[in-house]
Amino acid sequence: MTTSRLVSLIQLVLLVGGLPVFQACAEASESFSVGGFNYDETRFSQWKLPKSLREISGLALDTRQRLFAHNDEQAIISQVDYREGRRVKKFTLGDPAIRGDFEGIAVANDTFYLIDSAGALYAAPEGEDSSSVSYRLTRTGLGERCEIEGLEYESAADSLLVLCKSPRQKALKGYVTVFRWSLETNALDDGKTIQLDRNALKDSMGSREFHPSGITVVPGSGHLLIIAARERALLELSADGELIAAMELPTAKHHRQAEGIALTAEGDLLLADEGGGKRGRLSVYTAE
Amino acid sequence: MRKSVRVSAPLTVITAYYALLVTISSGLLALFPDLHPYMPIGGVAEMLGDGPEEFEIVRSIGGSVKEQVYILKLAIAVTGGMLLMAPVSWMYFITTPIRKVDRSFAQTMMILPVIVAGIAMIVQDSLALAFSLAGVVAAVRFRFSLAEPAHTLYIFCAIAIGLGAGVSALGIATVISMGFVYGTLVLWTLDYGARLNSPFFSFLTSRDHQDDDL
Repeated sequence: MTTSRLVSLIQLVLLVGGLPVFQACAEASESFSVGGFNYDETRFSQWKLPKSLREISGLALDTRQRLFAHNDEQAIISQVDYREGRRVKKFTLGDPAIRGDFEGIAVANDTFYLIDSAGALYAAPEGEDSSSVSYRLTRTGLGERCEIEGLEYESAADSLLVLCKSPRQKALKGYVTVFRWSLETNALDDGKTIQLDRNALKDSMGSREFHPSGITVVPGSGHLLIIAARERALLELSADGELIAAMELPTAKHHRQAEGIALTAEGDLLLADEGGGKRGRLSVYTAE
Repeated sequence: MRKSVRVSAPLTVITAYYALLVTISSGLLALFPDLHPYMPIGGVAEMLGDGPEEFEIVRSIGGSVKEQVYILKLAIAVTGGMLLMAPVSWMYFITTPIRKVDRSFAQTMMILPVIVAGIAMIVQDSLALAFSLAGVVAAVRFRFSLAEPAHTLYIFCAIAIGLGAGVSALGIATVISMGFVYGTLVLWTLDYGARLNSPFFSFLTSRDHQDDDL
């Protein structure tokens, strides 16, 4: 065989063999199901957030499906239009905005709640754009039990779900723990605390490591979705704490440090990634 | 012909060249504001976390806007890097005697920013990728020596321009290119370091006019 014929043969093989490979690569996309909704990488969009939301730490939806986010270091709440990619308004708790290590946000009965890592719970009404509002502070004492990392409103129990990240009590070690803070009594509903043995995660995830960073409630079922920034993993629990699903996010490459999670009534999954020195990101997984 | 006379031509041409580059890029941005996301400018501010106060789409449903932006950005960055490297290579031709001009070195100089920009875009902020790159470079084991110590400066300049382009900071790359070119041109014109027997240097170094002893 002459050299030119050999070259032609190789070109033919490359052409015939290469096209399907390129096609397969182009079509490859990751998908996952959680909370009864299916998500696909092809139905995924992402925003880089303004520099003032670099330290975005939590997400919350109100009953009108308006999305709110807050900063890590200052009590600044922003309303975000995640479809159009713009900030609708922002307001602060206190003037100037109080400083702290804010870890979660929830909206319940027209009241905004922020919680810090030590368990201090701030309640405030909604403010106008560029305004500051007064707030009420409740020391839950949960910070003595563990480092707090997330907050969500559970309408079925009229409670705030307080997510524990790093346990400070021996009894909580080895568990994923969610406290229920009753808004009716303004006290901990100790009997309804959710605890999931981390060993249960081994089968699904191959590891019992899970450092929760955000929590949300699935509309309808009342299930809980918990995101872990470090492991880039997602848990689905029933309202009683039974493990429904645990998975590493197949789209983990898109998430630097997922700190906030919210699920809209239509099933769109929203994840907020802290910037870590860069701009934060807001990811939108549109449900199929 | 005196050097001061000879320098006016390159000075004019190079200054006109930079002015043309800046005018064309500013004009393009003014005429087509939608080009802004594709322009590799302002990357350092973003790295410092001092980004703009607005949302920016990274990826939209049905495809990665980010990838398209990155590919176009890289293409513009690579072109920009080469355009900024051109005056640097001219300086090499101007300041080097014809018999010593190394064509291979000149071509290397022009291509280096392209490679460095590509690497910088690939590595981005990934420590793992940066270490992998270091490993690959160590494995390749370059055995490359430069004929003239001054060539090192050109290589460094090429790397700096490539890095600037690669991290979307063509503005900084432009300043580096201009600083290098004008600095070299001034030093070459002055023949800096050739005449140390002037009264000023005699006073500065405490040596008399005929003293050759260092």
